[in-house]
Parts: sequence; C-alpha cells; structure tokens
Amino acid sequence: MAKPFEPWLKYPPFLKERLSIIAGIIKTARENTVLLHDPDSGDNGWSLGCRAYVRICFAIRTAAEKFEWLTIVPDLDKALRFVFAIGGIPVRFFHGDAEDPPSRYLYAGQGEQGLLDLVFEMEGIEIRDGILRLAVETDETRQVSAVKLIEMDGDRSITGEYEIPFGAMDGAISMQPRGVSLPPASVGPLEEKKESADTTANAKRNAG
Amino acid sequence: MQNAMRGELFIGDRLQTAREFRGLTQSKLAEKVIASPAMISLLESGAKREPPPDLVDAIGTVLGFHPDFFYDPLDDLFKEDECSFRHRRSTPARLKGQIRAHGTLLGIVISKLRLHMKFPALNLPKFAATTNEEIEVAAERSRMHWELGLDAPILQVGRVLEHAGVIVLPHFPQTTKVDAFSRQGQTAVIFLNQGVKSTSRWIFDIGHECGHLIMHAGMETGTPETEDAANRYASAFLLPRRAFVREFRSMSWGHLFDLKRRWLVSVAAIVRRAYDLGLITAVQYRRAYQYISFKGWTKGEPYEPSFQQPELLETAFKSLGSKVSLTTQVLCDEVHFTPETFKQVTGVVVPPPPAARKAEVLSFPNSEGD
Repeated sequence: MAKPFEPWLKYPPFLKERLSIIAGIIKTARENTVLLHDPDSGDNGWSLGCRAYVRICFAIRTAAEKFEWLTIVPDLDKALRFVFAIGGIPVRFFHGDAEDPPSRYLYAGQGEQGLLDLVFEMEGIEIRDGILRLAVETDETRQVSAVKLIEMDGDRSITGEYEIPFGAMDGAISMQPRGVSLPPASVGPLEEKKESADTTANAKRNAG
Repeated sequence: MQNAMRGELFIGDRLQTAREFRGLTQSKLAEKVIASPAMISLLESGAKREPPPDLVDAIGTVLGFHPDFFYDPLDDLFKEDECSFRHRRSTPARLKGQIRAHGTLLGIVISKLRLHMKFPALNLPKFAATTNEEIEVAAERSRMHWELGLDAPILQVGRVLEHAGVIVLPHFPQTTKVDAFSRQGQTAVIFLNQGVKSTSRWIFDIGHECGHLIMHAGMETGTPETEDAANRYASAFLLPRRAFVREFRSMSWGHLFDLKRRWLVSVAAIVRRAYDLGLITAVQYRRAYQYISFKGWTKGEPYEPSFQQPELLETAFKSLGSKVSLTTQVLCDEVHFTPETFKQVTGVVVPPPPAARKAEVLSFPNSEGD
C-alpha cells in the first residue's frame, strides 16, 4: 500500500479546502445520480456509471465558473476525456479502487501532459512523468464512500495516497471573497430622456 | 475670403494640436505648405488670426483636416499640467506632445458625442497623498468610494473607471516608450498602449493612471516621486493590504500564480506587493526577481488573464446611426476631420458616402439609338 501523503506540501495549490470542495462536488453529483437510478426501468451499472460520470463533469465545469483556482483543461485528443486543474495542476477522476486504477486512466493526454510539463517546470518539481488522479470509491449502496487523491510516478506505481475529508471547504470560501464584477458602463442617446418626457407629457395630456 | 465667410478667426491652438498630432515641427510643416516657420509660429501663437485661405487649405491637406477645423473654438485643450505619462525617462517631448494632441482631438470628438449621448458623469474622488501610508489610505478610500470593498479582486478594472466617467482607449501612436497616458480635465481619459500584449500589465497600467487621476490632479507628474506614488497606488488599489496579507502564504511559485489568477495582477507585481508590505525579505524579493528575469517573464508571464477590451467609447460609436440619429459620417464632418484622421484618432472607420443613385447619373448615349 502506498504511504499517505499531504498533497499540499508537494503541490501547494492542492489545499485541503480545495480538495474537499472537489470531493464534495463529486459526492453530491454521484448521490443525486444514484437517486435517479431505476433498475426496474432498465437502468444498470453501465448506465449509472455513464450518467454519474457526465454529471460529475458537468458539476465540476459549473464549479469552475465560481472558483478562480479551478479550470477545465481542453483535451483535443478525446472529447470525453475530462481533465481539470486545481491551481494549474491537472488531475482526472475515475470510479474504482484507488489502488487499482483502470488502465485507460494511466495515460496523460496532450492537454494534461502540456500542463504538467509547464507546471512542473515552473514549480521546480522533478517528477515530469507523474500523474495525479482522484479515485471515487463507492459502497454497496453505490454512494461515494471515499474520494482519494493518488500520485503515480512514470511507471504508474502509486507513490502517494490521500483520502480527502468531506466538509473542509467552509473556511476556504469565507477566506476568499469572490471578485467584484461590474456591468458595462452605459452610454445612451440623449433623445431617450426627451422621448420619455414626451411620452409622459402625452400620457398626461391623454389622461387630462 | 473663405475665413470671412466662416465669420470666425483662425484658432492657433487647433493648428498646434493638428501639427503635434502629426509629429511635425513648425519648420517641417512650414516646408510642406511652402510658408515660413515664422508664419506657422505667428498662427499658433494667435498673433496672426486671418491667414490666406489657400494657406489654410494647404495646412488642412497636409495635416488631414478640413480647413473649417481651424476656425472652431477649442474649449478643451489637453494641457501639459493635466496629463500624466507612464513612460520611459528617455521619452522625447515631441512624442508626449503628439499623444496630448491625440487626446485633444479625441476630446473634440467626445464633446460632439455628448451633444447626442449621455455618458456616465465624472466621479473621481480626490485624495492628496505622498507618504506610503497616505497612498494606501487613498487607494482604500477610492475602493470604498466606488463601493468595491477591500476584500476582493476587481474583475474588470477598466469598467470601474468607465463607470466613473473616464474614457479608456486602447489606442495611441505605436511606440514602445509610453505604456499609458491619462488626463484629468473636462474629458478625463486613459490611453493604453495597444502594443502592450500583457493583460496583467494593462490592468496595472489602468491602476497606475487611476492613481494619477485621484492623487495628482493639477500637479506636474513624470517625476520619480509621482511615478512611484502611482505605482504604489496601483498595487494598493488592485491588491488591498488587508486582503493581501490574509491571502499571501508563501513564495511558492504555485501559490504566486494562484494569486495571479485570482487577483489578475502579474506575479512580478504580487512579489513587489509582498515586499512592500514586509511579507518577504529584501533577499527573497531580489531572488524572486532574478528568477522572473531568468524565466523571461519580464517580457510576458504565463497565466495571463483574458483580455479586457475598454467598452464605453466602443458602445457609443456602435450606437451611431442606430440608437442615435447621428452617423459616423456626420460626426466626422462636424469635427472637420478627414475620414483617415478620424480613424487614426478614434480607431473607427468612417464608411464612404453612399454612391450616387443611378437615376442621378446621366447615361452615356447608346450608339444604337433608341
């Protein structure tokens, strides 16, 4: 078994609060999908898996509009391959046991690799061939039992594993108020005022 | 006489503005219009108010203005003491004059637009500040004045200024010697250099010019003291100390780029802010700058925010001919610019006049007769 590690020490953007937010998003999306699961109408494990996957992707995409540190990494190789980045460091998620990631999740696509190279180069971290994955583990009720961050080296051996706590996100949100967004300043025709004054005058005349 | 028909006297300031806009000296203009430099000097100083019409026509042709341009009153000349430049110390005075003249011409266009359109009212607070503490407070009071709070990034800093009635324009003569320019007066403007490709630098430039508008109205700028003060103001305005101290954790590059993504300010400015607020030592600051330089980030940093195009003037121009009856063509005629000059001043293309209708054109007699 890989030894536990504290990801933020090696990957500073991987703050506990951020990881917890992502884990919470995954858990909630999965829970909501399980509620819709209806074997009597023909749903099976495959349909649940597909539905949960796309719903989790959607939830993360939506969250990326809210959190500045969360971005979606475009992957031109495969449209369905979903990669996102926490503070610029790319990561993917899969459903299954953390210690037995599916083979199709062991490769870094072009978008992920490009970002890994850039971030690793900037951070001065030497593991250039490593990857990071989130394992979404479920129990017999099909609900999420744990979300674990795993770090793999170039040989895809697991070199670090961290079980993300749920519910550690409150502090992160209150610590970072959202940016102030203003609508565009308005510039309009002067006639508008005149027209509206005319309209009011006409209305008064008509009323009179 | 043409000027007698106009019933006005020649306005020397208009000639000087047009000449400086073209970057010409009095002698060079005199040479181009076959006149003496003394004549140009007399016209500009106002000592000679009724020049021969053919000379005015020649001047207009050379400078790109209709002769009537030189007879309209000029109410809003961009004066030297109203203008601030974010520039290199080696910037020649002629280039600054050229940019000021550009501002004056833009002011003429905006004055005409104001007759047809309602722009946001000028809402710039004034705070005298010289010490670092006074500048910090001025930046905080500016944020409070505009209801921006002290805890969060400003996602569109250009819009803050546009709401305050400042015209922000990404347009002035292509030069690497001036990053930005601002003017406090009847028409308040910030010109940004469209040659600067870094959005985070643009954002800082807007903050810097905002500092001049807020703190240095009526003062001579361009000195090391006023430039340092405007830089400090930009830092304090974009990265308020209370929030920055709370969010700054370490000199890890990952964390610094996180802060950049959130606050839309360059890593170089973030490192400087950390140093100014005593969060890092002088050695850490120097080491960080050495690394920034080594990585080539002084010329362009990774993770630049998405580009924020100034919108106010663009919206006004887009309304011409649709929301307001005034068209670009009529506006160009009213300010007496040639279409080419209008484009150079505003960045907006004046469409050619509609072609003469066929019915108005006499057809060439058909040889086969009818």
